Amino acid sequence: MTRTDPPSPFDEQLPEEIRRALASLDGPGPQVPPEIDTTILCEAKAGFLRRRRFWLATRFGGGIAAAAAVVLIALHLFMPTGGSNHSAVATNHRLTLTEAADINHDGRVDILDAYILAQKISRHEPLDPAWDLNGDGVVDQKDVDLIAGIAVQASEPEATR
Amino acid sequence: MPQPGDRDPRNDDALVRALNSGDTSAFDSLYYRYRDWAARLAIRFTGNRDDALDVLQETFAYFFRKFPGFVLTARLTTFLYPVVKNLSIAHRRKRERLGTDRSIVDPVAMPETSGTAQRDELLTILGGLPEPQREVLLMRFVDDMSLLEIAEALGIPEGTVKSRIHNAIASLRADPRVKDYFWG
Repeated sequence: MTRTDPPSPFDEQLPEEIRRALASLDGPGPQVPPEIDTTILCEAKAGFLRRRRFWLATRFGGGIAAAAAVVLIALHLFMPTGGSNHSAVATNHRLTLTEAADINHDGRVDILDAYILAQKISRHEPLDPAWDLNGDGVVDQKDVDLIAGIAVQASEPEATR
Repeated sequence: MPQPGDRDPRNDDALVRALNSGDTSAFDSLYYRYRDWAARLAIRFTGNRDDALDVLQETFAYFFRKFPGFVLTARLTTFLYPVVKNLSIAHRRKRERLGTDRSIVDPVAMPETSGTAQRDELLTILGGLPEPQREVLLMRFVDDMSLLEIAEALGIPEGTVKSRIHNAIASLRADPRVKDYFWG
């Protein structure tokens, strides 16, 4: 079956009068009240901040394994041989790390602390030397990853003794 | 009154990147850049001011929920068009179910009078075109969308877009009331 295609190259045009009539089919559009503008933008920004925390947390997922390894190595360095005070020293060390990693001082280490430190670093804000959690002399993404690792450990149920 | 979208020199791609990076001021620029177009489109489909404003809010709420992480792969009008259209159709159907819609055959946003009998006749003829043809004519000659953008927004082949435009213009040329517009 033969089909007649439209002319090519496609350059079908409308006379200006018809184009204007076509545009007037729409009308001028509704006037949007300022309160609607404000509502839309406020809701957008509030929702965005909530989602961005979660989005950053999932981005850190790739670094959690590395962060967990760093935590384990740090714990190992502080563990005495013999093992009887093993868990006590490890717990003490973890508390020290926990206090330093609690960036927003809300009494717990969670992914929000990692996010806050990441924001401070990316915005070149003044950084507390105490946030150099891995002790390499620099407060950077590695410290953010370490906080993420601690947050993951803190959220896991305690191991049975 | 100039809005942030008018003053912001960044293109849509740059604004999307900025938003994904956490620059929430880009919300304002994107919103004001496309607000009036989306509102006009919503009125086109709903025929009702209140519904159009609801559709406007729902459209941008849907769009902004895509951030962070949204990737712009086409013009923003191509992305927003089906969103506005589908939300508008949902609102119209709700009105029909509630029995508050006057008539489904009422032309969308058809002005009651244009001031001249000639223009009124033209409006009636355009309003009488099959809806798929009228829609692509509006997208092409009023929304200034390319054939590819129209095809992507409607989810149809580009050839179908060309056919609909061609058939619509052919109908107009053949109409004795309109053909003189084509011959000058």
